[in-house]
Amino acid sequence: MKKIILSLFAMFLILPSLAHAELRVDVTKGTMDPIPIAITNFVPKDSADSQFSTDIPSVISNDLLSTGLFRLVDPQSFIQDAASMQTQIRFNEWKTINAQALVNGTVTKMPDGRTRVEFRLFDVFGQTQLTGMAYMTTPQNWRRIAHIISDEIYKRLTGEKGYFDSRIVYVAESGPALKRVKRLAIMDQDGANQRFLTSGQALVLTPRFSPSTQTITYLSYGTNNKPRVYIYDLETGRQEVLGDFPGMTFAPRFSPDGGRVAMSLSQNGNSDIHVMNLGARGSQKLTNSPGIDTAPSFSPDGAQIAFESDRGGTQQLYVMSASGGNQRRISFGDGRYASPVWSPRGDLIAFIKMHKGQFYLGVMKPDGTGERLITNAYHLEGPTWAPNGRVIAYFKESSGGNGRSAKLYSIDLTGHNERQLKTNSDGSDPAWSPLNP
Amino acid sequence: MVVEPRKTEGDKLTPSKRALIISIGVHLVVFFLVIFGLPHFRDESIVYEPVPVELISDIGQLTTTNKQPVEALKPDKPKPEPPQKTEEKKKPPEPKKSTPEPPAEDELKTPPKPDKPTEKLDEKAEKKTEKKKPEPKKDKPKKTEENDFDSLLKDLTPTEKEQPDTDNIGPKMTDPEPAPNISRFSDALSMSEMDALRQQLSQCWSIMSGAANAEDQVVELAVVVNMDRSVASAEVVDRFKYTSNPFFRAAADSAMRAMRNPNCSPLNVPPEKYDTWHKMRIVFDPKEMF
Repeated sequence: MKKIILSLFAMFLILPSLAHAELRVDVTKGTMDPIPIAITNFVPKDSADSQFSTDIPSVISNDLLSTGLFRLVDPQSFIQDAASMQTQIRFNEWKTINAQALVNGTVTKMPDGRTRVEFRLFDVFGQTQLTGMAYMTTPQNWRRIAHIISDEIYKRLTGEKGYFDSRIVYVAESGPALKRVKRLAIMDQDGANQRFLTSGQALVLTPRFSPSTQTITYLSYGTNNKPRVYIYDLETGRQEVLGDFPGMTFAPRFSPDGGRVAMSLSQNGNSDIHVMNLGARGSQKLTNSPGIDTAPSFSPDGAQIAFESDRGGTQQLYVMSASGGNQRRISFGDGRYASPVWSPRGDLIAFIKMHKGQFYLGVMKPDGTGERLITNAYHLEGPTWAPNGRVIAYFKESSGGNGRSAKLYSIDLTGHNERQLKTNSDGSDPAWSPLNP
Repeated sequence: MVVEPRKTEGDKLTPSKRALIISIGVHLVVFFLVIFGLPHFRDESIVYEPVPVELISDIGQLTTTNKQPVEALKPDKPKPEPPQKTEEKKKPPEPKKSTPEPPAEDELKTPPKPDKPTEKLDEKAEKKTEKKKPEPKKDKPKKTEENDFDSLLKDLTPTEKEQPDTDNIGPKMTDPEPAPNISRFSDALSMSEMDALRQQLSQCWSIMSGAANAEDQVVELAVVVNMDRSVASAEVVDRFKYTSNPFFRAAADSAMRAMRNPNCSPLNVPPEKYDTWHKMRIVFDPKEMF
């Protein structure tokens, strides 16, 4: 009996080890190689405009390429033609040309004149369809559909929301340095559809998009040459002065719900941060220090505000509650810190750091830890987050033909993918919109 | 004393009548559920939500986009491919995947014919990788070469020890690679054999940097390997997280792509130790990269 019990006991000891007999391998290093993605022409159906069949994939390709996360497989190497993919995908042929993701689609002209665009995303190694969607729109709106498709692909492959169906408002600059004309302009994030919003008679600065509505707030030197914060409703084209303050107002920024604007009010040489309720038009003073408090930026939950202040002797970053309480410094490195902008993801604050004659774009956690400088230039300013919190746009200035040249750039959080944004003229002070509604 | 009045009412109903009333009541509930409930359930899954995408007149045109999913996403798709996939030599026609697909995709799933050209290429690839086999011994020198990719996240912070209170990513990266915590069977594969396998897989694994909490997306795959060292099947162990967390799903897909990457087939393991590597748990952990 004892033997039986002992042998049973031994079995209990051995069995679990047998069950876990699998070898375990920890892979802790990888590459940052972009995913090779093949994007075919879309197949036109029912006399659809064949131009779309190449233009839409082209916009998608540019969107994805601009992220630095994807590498386009050369269409000339494609073995299978787009039309035959409608009945069967020969995955092995795509594998052969080292495509890991594959996008195809169709464009159909509907009887009512609208266009139906359909796409599918495949995992080549897994030989599965990852996602597929169809959209209907008027033919003129094809670029928008292409961006929406790019967002879907990006979302499926990275897990993160996209940012391609969004716009950027900026200050378009022209003319010589001493007589610079600055106009508000807006464009798609890829540089298409550029339009001016203001005439250029009054100087405009620091446009900021509402995170939730199609509204812009900005600073303008109106007819009396007095700097005031304005609100511009993109849907109605209406603009108005925000509040009638005795002093100068500047550095406006919306709350996440678009219902409030935080800004600086300068009176008697002292600047403090005020918040204004857009509905009731009531304002509240949030800071009360003898120094300059400016550049307020709400956290995405609206509960906190990051700002810059020189109250401690040098320009540094601070955070406070949205009602002005619990003000605390978060930047402690060498140099001066400015322009904090809270990421829409909430995990980071972007800022500008000035140190030893250089301007740096950096990010840090809201508690001030994890500071990382991701790019630098002789002069660099105006950080603004893409709606998914993974890319930052800003502008760089250098001496140019007219004595001064300003260009818009974007960089992803890794700091490895910096790109110049296309604008028709010089551009500064970019502000990224939320995703289009 | 307590429920007198009701009792008297109830007493009037015979048990059969009461049952009849209950039955009618239940039937009515079911009937109304079917009539009013079903269409709503359906709406949710089909998602015919019209997405108004009105562009402002001075920017673009006013347009309306109706977003209709052609195919529902298949979150339950983590289904690893059937073992045959990596053994293309064996079967000219690819087996259909068993995952449930919407009708439209059924058409797309018919097995591809032209396997021959790819077979050749696959063979070539195999030969190439086989040729590479002796390389693993060079692991140690290689590590220094790889250091160019130590940091996924660029940091221009000068090295003069600024910001004492910041998280320093650097030191982490230079930490020695953790000793292979390979369980009690580590003696089955030697250290260099294990390193060779890790090295091979790390070259096929593309990490999605910059995502929120990317460093926390640790993916464990249950992998079955054929005798010819090709991957027979790979499966994400945490399926619930795969279906519920899009970041994890993207990370898991990336790990699966690494396992299925032709550049990592056959696996760099000693053929004679089949029993050891026939079944493996491969953990893709990007923490050290950040």
